[in-house]
Amino acid sequence: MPLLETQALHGRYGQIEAIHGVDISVERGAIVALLGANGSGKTSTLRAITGTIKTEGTVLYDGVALHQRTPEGAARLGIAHVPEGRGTLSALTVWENLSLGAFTKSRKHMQERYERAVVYFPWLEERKHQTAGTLSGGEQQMLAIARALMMEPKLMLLDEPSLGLAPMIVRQIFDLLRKINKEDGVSILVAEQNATIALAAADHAYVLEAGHVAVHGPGDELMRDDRVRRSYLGY
Amino acid sequence: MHDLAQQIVSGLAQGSIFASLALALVLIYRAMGIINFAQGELAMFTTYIAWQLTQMGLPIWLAFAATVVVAFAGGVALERIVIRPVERANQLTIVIVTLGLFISINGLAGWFWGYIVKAFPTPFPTTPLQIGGVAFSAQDVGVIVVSVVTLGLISLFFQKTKLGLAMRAAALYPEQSRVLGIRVGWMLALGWGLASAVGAISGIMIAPVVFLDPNMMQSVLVYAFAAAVLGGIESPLGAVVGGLVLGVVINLLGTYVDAIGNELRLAAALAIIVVVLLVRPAGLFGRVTVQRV
Repeated sequence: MPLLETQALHGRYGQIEAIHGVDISVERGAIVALLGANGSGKTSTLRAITGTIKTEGTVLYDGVALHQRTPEGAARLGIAHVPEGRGTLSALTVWENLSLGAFTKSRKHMQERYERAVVYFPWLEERKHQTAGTLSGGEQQMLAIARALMMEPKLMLLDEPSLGLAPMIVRQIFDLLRKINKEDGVSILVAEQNATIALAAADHAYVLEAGHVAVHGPGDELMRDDRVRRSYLGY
Repeated sequence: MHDLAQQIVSGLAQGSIFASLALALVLIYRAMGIINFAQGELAMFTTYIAWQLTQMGLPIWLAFAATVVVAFAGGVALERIVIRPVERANQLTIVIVTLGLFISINGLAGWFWGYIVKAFPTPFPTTPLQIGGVAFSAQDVGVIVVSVVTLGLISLFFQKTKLGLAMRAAALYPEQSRVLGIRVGWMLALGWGLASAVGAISGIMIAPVVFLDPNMMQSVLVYAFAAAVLGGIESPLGAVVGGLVLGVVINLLGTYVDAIGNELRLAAALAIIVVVLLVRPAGLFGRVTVQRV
């Protein structure tokens, strides 16, 4: 049984429907990539899963159908959504950002989670009291991932973690994601425009086109797929 | 000199009442981006509740504590019942709802307790305090102490507790906060509760001076608004400093400038609002927001 499964998932912004029946699934312990051009529905799919936008269709999480999805409800079930643009609370300090990730947990538990996050991001310790808005883009993305780790998630949803970052930083972030996936057993669903790096990390990938799943398959298979290569990898 | 010192202390006392109500306004403004025009009337109504409790034989300090609790619960309930349905509407709609609350609460108080002015017992001793050879009114000093303690506790709550942090996050970044599992709607309700509790304290502090009647808080609201604008409408610290400065300035102007006297104090407060908005719209402590277009 997959950890997450969507069936005929629709998502709307007011009257405008952005995704029209998306079926994807994330196996336990897997990294799954959600690829596609701008406006193909990657962000909307993630938002529909957590109920940040109006949705129809079924989301099965851990075998249970999530009815009346809300972002705060999803967070409390162990789905950590790192939104587009990182969602850093820029006026607050690094530590305040992190502790809000563990908002629903006890103080002791919060400390444990913090120690876990620092394993991956040791620089957080010395920058604890810095205002998050003064961090570089890459650091803010890492802070957002560390904050997601504070939530002790089973599933992490990441929306374009590579956005606006230098290739070296992007590689570093994906290496860390792979490590978090392996060592903490966090399943990952990552929406990316940078197909090359996402496919290299992913066990399975879905390519979205105009709000539908166009192609899907194991990461290395898609990497060899001519259509995917021409459209998204550019060679 | 003695006279000046007394005037300054009495200005600080008034100012700390403005500061409390201004803080209540700022709490709501930060969370929702609107001025709650009913804030003063809420304070008035809860002051009546305190009066009612003293009439039932409760000692004033006990009535004070009970009223703050009731005010908190009432603020939460009001947000859940009246504001929640329009939470996502545009700001003008919410402002109109608070104006509706203003009128309803005022009418309700008149209906329950009548429009005849009532005396409100002071919780402080009536004998003056001698400090450094100058006699200060114990009422003034007491009001300053209570307000400072209140504002200090509120500040500690926001800076040091997880719930306070979550409330700040929910006010500044509602979308991102929800994704972290914070129930933003409830944080808003708590904000209303806190604002209403702080407002109740300002009402009880000023009632022995201006006496109790359904319109008692209306001019105080204008002063509080002036204080909030002066300090920067988004800054809790600004509200407090703005309130104290305004209290002292208005009191000194009223005392030493014959042309202003008692009658033109409110007009002076309005003048301050206009001047601040013209010269420094963000207020003393407000940050100028630069928007990329």
